[in-house]
Amino acid sequence: MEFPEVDFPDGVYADVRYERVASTMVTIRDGSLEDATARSTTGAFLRVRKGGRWLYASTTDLGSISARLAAMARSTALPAVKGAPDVESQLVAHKAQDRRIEGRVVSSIPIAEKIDLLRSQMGVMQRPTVRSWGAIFLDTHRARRFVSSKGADVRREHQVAGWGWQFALAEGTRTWSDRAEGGGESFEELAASLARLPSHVEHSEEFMRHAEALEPGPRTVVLAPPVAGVFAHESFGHKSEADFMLGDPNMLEEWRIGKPVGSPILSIADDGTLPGPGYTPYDDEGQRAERTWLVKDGQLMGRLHSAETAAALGESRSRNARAMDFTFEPMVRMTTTFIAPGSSTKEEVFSGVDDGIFIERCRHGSGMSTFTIAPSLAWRIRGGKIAEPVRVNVITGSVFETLGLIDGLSDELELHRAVLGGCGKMEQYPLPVAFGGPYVRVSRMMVA
Amino acid sequence: MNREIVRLRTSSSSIGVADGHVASLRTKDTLETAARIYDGGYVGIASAVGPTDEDALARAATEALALQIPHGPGPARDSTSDTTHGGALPEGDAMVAEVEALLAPLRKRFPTFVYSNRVTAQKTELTVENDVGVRHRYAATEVGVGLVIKERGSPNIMDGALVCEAEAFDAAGMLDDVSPWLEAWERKAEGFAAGRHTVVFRGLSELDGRFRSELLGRRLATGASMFAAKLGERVFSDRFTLIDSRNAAKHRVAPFDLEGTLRSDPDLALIESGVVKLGAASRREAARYGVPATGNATGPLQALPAGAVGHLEPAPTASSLADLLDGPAILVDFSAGGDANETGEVGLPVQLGWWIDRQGRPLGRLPQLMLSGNLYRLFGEDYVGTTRERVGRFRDEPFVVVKMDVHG
Repeated sequence: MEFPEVDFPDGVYADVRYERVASTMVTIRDGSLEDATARSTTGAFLRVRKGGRWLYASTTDLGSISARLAAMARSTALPAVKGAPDVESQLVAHKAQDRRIEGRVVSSIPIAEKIDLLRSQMGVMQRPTVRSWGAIFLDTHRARRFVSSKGADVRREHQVAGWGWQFALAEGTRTWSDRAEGGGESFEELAASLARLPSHVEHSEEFMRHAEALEPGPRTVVLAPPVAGVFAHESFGHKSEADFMLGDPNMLEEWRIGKPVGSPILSIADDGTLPGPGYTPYDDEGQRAERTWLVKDGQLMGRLHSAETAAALGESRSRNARAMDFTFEPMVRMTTTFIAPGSSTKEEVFSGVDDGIFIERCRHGSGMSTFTIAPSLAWRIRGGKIAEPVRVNVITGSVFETLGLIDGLSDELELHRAVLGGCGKMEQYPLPVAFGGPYVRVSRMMVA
Repeated sequence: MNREIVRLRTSSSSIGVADGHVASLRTKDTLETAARIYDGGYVGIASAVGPTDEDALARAATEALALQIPHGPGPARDSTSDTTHGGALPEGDAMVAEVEALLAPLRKRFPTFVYSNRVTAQKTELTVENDVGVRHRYAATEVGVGLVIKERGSPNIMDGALVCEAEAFDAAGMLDDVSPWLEAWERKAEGFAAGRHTVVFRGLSELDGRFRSELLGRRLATGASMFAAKLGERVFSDRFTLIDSRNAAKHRVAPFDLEGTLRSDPDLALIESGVVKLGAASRREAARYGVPATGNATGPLQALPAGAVGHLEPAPTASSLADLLDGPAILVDFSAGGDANETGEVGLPVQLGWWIDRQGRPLGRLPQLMLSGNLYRLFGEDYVGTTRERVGRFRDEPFVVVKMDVHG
């Protein structure tokens, strides 16, 4: 995990983020090995703060970094601006090492073992309803080093491994496509999550056979923990990213700390110290992570910052500057975002619903002032019990109204730690994140 | 044993924009290389980012043959092409000046908005070469403006986007293109009510998701596609033809795919006159599933290419938008989060929509809407048509017009 030392130019703030990524991808489709590749890539992202603006460069030529920094420091491409935020004062020069490796280093495990892991479950797909399927294994081991002209030197090492299984079911005129996935921080823990695949497929079969369309309209909705996590991420997490507030003092007033934004039982946090794909003990500006409460007891409590947004908005910083990889600059991003659990049992959350919808899994979500979640598996709730499956395209609603309509939270937090996919923001997708929550009951959502 | 090398070089200068001003300049120059070795019905692959020894990479790919990844057809043969789109791009100081020439008038003429995100000038060169006569090269330059706009005081994180793509930067032209919409921002749509409406999309917009996921050769062949049972049947309007285009004379696309396949006809109809005809497939998939190879092999260079739909748009049924509209209609400017299920039911939330006249000019801005319909009807009885006219000078998409139910 050695990366070269850097000679920083005088008179400017500069930093370098090294990254070495070793990844493996295995794909099996319809029983045949489709792909099995391993790759290791090393590169660096360079930043120079000059005249109140940033010069960035990415390179795979690690021998040229000091010379490139010097050239960037001499560059006149960006004229200086007055009144730029004092970013440098926000950056604490930590010296630290964080190595979070569970089990074997995934890049050291022979690829044949990873192929065998997927092959061990191929028999699950031997069902008359399964028309086509694809399985993927993915692991990533990242070693990073952040150094700055202020003297920071943060080394960290982390790995994730996961699997995803997509399958297309058909019976008569009915078809249904679904997916299952699992992940963690070690290869060794994947077998346990893969053991759930048979029941997952059976559950999807039941859905395909019996799901009927649902009349659109407002409904009481219970969100399963992974769906609640998507809701928290999309509906409120992105709104908490402070770079969206730059240049708009009115929005800062609209989003003033302490403002009621949701039900009094609602609390939402982002926490880079939690294990999983969102694990970011130091962000990509070398800043040490901690839990940031975005909403606490229904009131706006904080937001997510990079050094630049904290300086520009005059707020205490969080440590949420992250980049997808060494070819991108860090921007304000989430890590592990979740709705905090409440005090009801899961049964109590459901028992309060006479006629409603349970969203068990979802395909995707998005959020502006209106959020949307595209469910995959959804079920009718009748008399407080989960009843027949229903086909739902989208659930949607006003973010602000819906956050105020949360009236039930179960008492256990479940985090979704899949390693396939991630969060997208502008050009940077996918960034590894995690999300979750308890079972969340909303008294009214538009089901379409 | 056959050897194939794929190289993708990308150089870019990208200007970051914050609060309507140039905030950063980022430069990138990346070379990605993949080596594939074909032998005895198997393929081995190895890849690298950065300058690399291609012989060493080929040796690694040869070692990967031991994994026995099947590849029935082996490499493509005897096919060459050389295509270039665009020319030189501005760099450094010049690029900053060009972007400022766009931002300064935006700030002055439309100060109620905050502009952010980025403008990128990118040069790409893709080559696919092998030792059995494949020599393809595609080079393209493109300037992409992707500015997020947010109305000052709006509680939203964004209210819309200004999107322009061109082979060269044209600040004045781009400003002309986006100005009518910003000028109309405060105008509320008069005479609009929820109900059944004519809806205009720029390209297929979010409606294309199901076509992309279901019009794949492997899914059609295995019965997994929602269209599998309808293959060869007319299930859409006979005026609806859906084209996957590798036509470099019409669009900024490479005429070949990542297996080095060059189509005899670059415009491939996946749905023709309403009939589901075939799905996108790589050569490897074609051999395995017994479907036609369509020259649609794509994917990251780290992996072996797989079939995927590329540049997708309906064939034109009319010259201009005015030919398709008989009165005001809804234009979907920005939508996210919609979906269509396996039975074709579509739910589409529209975050930014406009009430437009027959020429496509804005009459007023609409509130957020929810659109619904069924994919078979949208491109069946509810299909109005697709224009030959492009949606703007800087967006290579037609207008696609359908009837939909609109909920407030």
